[in-house]
Amino acid sequence: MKNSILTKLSMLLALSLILAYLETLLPPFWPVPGMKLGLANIIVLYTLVEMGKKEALMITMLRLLSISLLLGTLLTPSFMIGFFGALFSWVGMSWARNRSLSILGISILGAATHNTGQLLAAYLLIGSTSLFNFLPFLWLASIPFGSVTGLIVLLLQKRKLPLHS
Amino acid sequence: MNNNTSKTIGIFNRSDLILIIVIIVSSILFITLSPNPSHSHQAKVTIGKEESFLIDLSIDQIKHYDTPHGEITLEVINGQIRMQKSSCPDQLCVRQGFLQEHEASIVCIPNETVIEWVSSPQYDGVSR
Repeated sequence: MKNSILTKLSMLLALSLILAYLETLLPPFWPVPGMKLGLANIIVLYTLVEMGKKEALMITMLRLLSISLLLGTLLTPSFMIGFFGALFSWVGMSWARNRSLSILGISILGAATHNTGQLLAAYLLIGSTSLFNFLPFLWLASIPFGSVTGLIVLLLQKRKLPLHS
Repeated sequence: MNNNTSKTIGIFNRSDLILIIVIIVSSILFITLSPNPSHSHQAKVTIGKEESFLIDLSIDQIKHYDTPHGEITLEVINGQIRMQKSSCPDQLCVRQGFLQEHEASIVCIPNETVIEWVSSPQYDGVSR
């Protein structure tokens, strides 16, 4: 791997860690348990559209590992749920990347697949089908929340950050 | 990126709008087709994957349980049930308050606990 790419990825990872940490400080959104904005996805989406699928997966996985070490949640149920969500989200967004969806569309699909992955993981852990009652509400929430994060990535792209080289 | 971004409607392009419509329609279908939770005098509490039991909501009570990752306290008062205390970090289950009639369940992921209404009589006796 070229040094310039390695440096860029390290910076993006650091940024995603800060955003993921900031998100834990925000009060949880009501009324659906676990609903959140998904700020760290800004960086993953940016990496996906600017660099590629492989790089986005690296950022996602390293972020999950690092943030769980920082918060002390490694291999706990919350970690497993976040892991499944991130993996599903990456698959969804990678699929959408080469389709006709705009960045906003990719972001919405990423949010929706993230929720689906999380709930599937929660179901595997707990085994209660009543969990799926949250799913349509999480899907609906993925439209505004995904649009917001997608819009931020669009603005980032227009800014011609020093990260562009 | 694809060059199809020229056909934009507002900030979304046509594919985005199709995706949004698909999400809205499937969510509405999901909500309308899923059975309404029934309200009986009992709630089912599941801790971990194995342990599950019924709680009589007609008796006011406070109960402590150990979970795989901590402990929880349930409170039953006036036929309602809530998570009074939980050892989890986010406290989402405690903040949710009493299990409302339109809600399916109170879930505590860190403690692997689900509190739900006992399903309607025709499904009684079905075990996982």
